[in-house]
Amino acid sequence: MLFNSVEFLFVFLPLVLWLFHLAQTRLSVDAAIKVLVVASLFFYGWWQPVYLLLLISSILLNFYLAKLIHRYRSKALMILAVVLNLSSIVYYKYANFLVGNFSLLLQQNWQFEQLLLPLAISFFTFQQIAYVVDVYRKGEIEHNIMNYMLFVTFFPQLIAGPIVHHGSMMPQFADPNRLGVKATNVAVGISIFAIGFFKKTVLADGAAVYANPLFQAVDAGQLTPGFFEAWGGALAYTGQLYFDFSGYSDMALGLGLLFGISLPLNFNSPYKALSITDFWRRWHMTLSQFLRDYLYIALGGNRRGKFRRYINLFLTMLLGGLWHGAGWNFLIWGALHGGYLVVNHAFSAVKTQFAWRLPKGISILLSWLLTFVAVVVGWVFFRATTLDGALTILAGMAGFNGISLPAGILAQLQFATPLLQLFDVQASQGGGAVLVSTWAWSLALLLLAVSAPNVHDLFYRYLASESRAGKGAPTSRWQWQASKGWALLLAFLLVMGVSTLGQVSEFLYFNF
Amino acid sequence: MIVYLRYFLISILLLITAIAGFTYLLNPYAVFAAGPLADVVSRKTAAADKGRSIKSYQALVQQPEVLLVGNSRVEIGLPAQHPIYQGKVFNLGLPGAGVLMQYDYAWHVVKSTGKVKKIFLAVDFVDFLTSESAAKPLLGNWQGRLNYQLSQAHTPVTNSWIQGKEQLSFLLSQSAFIDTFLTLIQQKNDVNALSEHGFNDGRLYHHIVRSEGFAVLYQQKLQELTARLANPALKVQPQSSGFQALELFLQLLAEQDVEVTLFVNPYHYPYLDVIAQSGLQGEFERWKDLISAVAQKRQLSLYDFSIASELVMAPLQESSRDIRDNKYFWEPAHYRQAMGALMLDAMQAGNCRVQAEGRMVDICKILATAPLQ
Repeated sequence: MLFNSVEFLFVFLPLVLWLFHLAQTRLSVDAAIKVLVVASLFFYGWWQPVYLLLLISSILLNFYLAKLIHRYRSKALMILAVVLNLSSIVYYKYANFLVGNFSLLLQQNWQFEQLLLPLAISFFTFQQIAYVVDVYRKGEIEHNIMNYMLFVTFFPQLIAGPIVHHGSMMPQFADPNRLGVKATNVAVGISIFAIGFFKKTVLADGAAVYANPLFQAVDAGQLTPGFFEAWGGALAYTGQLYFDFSGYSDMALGLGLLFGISLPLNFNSPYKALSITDFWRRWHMTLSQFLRDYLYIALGGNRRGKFRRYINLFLTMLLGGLWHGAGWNFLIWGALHGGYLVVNHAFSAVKTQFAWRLPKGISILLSWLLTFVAVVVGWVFFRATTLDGALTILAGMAGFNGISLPAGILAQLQFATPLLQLFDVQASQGGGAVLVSTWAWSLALLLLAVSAPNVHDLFYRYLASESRAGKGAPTSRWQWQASKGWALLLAFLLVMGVSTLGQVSEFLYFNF
Repeated sequence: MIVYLRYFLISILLLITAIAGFTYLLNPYAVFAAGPLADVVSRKTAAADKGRSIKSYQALVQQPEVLLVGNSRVEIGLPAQHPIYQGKVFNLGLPGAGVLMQYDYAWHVVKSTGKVKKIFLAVDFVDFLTSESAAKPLLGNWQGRLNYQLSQAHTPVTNSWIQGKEQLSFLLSQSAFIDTFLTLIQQKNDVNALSEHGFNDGRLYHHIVRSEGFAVLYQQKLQELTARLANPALKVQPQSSGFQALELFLQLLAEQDVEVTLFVNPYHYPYLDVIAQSGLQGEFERWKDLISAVAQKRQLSLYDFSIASELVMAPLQESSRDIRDNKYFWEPAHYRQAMGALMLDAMQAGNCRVQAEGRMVDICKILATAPLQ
């Protein structure tokens, strides 16, 4: 079930909220937790009921193994739990990729049955790996199986994160004053949800219309995009991905609050980042924290000298890339970001040593531009489904496929003929409406992403410490208040989002 | 916070009502009965690329007696007014639609309204070219929005969920909301627009010709056509699903006592050249024979406007940016309403010799004639 679906918004959510409230006020907090667990399992099973078995088995296995680890303080059991979790994810997510590549390498014709990837397997597996590792490391344990099930399955975060940490979730479940439907939480939660919903359904889905056709055509070998087309598609995807994912995270945060549960911050305006290190402090923050705490530090972190630190950083990002999907492009994307981080750290060290300084304004602009371009280049690998597709788009962005503009646009730019000739701009077919719309959407989204406050800036005062973690007090003068103006604005965003649920189907056949 | 939540809820309700009311009044897709603002927003600019989604509903609102059936050539090429119509007309030309879709939509209108008395049915050679080895079932993903379809001709199909959802989207969806604004501000723009009777005014062509000339339109269409006809497996097959759909459609219309006039759309000469260069001239002639046989079997009139008439062979003013310079064609595949009017003149008179350019000109060949009634 998706948040942006009729069945979720108008049936599932109101019903669960009502049952939860009824259980919490008439029965007990435990009963309310049970309602949430059952609702979350239903939410997950809506997609593929059969994978409920996998989810429940995974939960039971980790819960009871954790108990054994806690009782015997056994490192072997902890390793067993981690291996079992990884085996499951390798089997479902990476087996085809691995068999396919080994088969190619050894020139064999090995086949592996194509499996349907269980939804959210990367999220619930990693949350539980973190849990069993901490049970061993820190002796933290949860004895209540319903609380544990809710920690893993809580439906607002189950499908696409944020990756929650038992350390911040379990205390909330154990606090009898925390859970419940309270007016302040509902007001803040529904307002945040409205923003996230708008980001996802209007902004991200609006950009998808421009990004998808380009990537699909290039991946299929049907298009060699020129400079403007390639950049337009890449920028549209850059906007789409951010508003899609951060919109989903905002919706999760808002939904959690409806039940009195605070979820962690997952995005902090990443396109405002002035370095790649900064970017990773702002983008998918809960994954970055997981990779840092359970991979980078496990590999040795920065404890064994600079060279090992860089190697560890690179390996962490490489595996982080693979976490996103089984494919060479994800691996390349991870490697690229690993490389970026290494260069970033090395450059920072050199810069400090030689005390290089640029005027502040220029320095900020250059840093932002370099970071942003590096991120966009990475997204091309992330989005393209083939290596050839990614390289073709990058070649287009670098100008290797030539610079062309639709004849319709060129006809309007006759005043700039000398400039167009200087850059050897050629005419391509078409009126240019799609190209203009692509750029207009992409630039509008970029402007929003780099200038608008995010939900944490807006709602900081009303968020619990679990949601504020990793972010200081906001500097934005835009602060949400429970006022008529904000109610009208956010209601408008929600209505706009809801109005996308039944779009009039388009038929883009402009030229007959 | 309770007060805030109350404001929030009231705002949602007010906004929904305002948006739905705004959309209903301006009626950007002409799917509601014309209201007080019908004349202010008579050009449905946002509807021009959504014909497939809206015409099945639009036609039911209009309750036409005369239907024009075909693809974009019909939608854009036939004029909205002509003495031949003799009744309320609706242009059911569907851009890019194959024959099954065209006939499914038309049958839906005929059967749902029960008012259609006459149909002008345009046929195109390329719509009947196929590489299929056996006829496909008469199914399509558009059928959910239709009450009747050819494959179950007399059984009404209950699609209230799909149709209800689609109709709600015409009233309350982001695209409807944006399209309402666009419709309001684009009334005088050179963009395509549908009328409430389904006619496309083709104003985008005005803009393109003025800014880029006719050449670009011709180049683009000829490239598309050349690519489309490059498949060596394409041929005309009398047993194909296209012919099956045509035969079935005509049979059903005969059962309903609907008068039908068939015609082959005209093409400007570069289009005919591409057919010949693609080695399909023989298939083109064979297709005409097959269509003639179908018309004769059903005792219908069939006018062929795709002959190399004087108007079809009129030289192209390729570099011109003046829309008056190519009076009868926008580009090789799409004739203009001046041509459409002459075609209707010919069909009205039952004679291919019509008054054009101040003299009498032969613009068609009659391949089959309906018996006089």
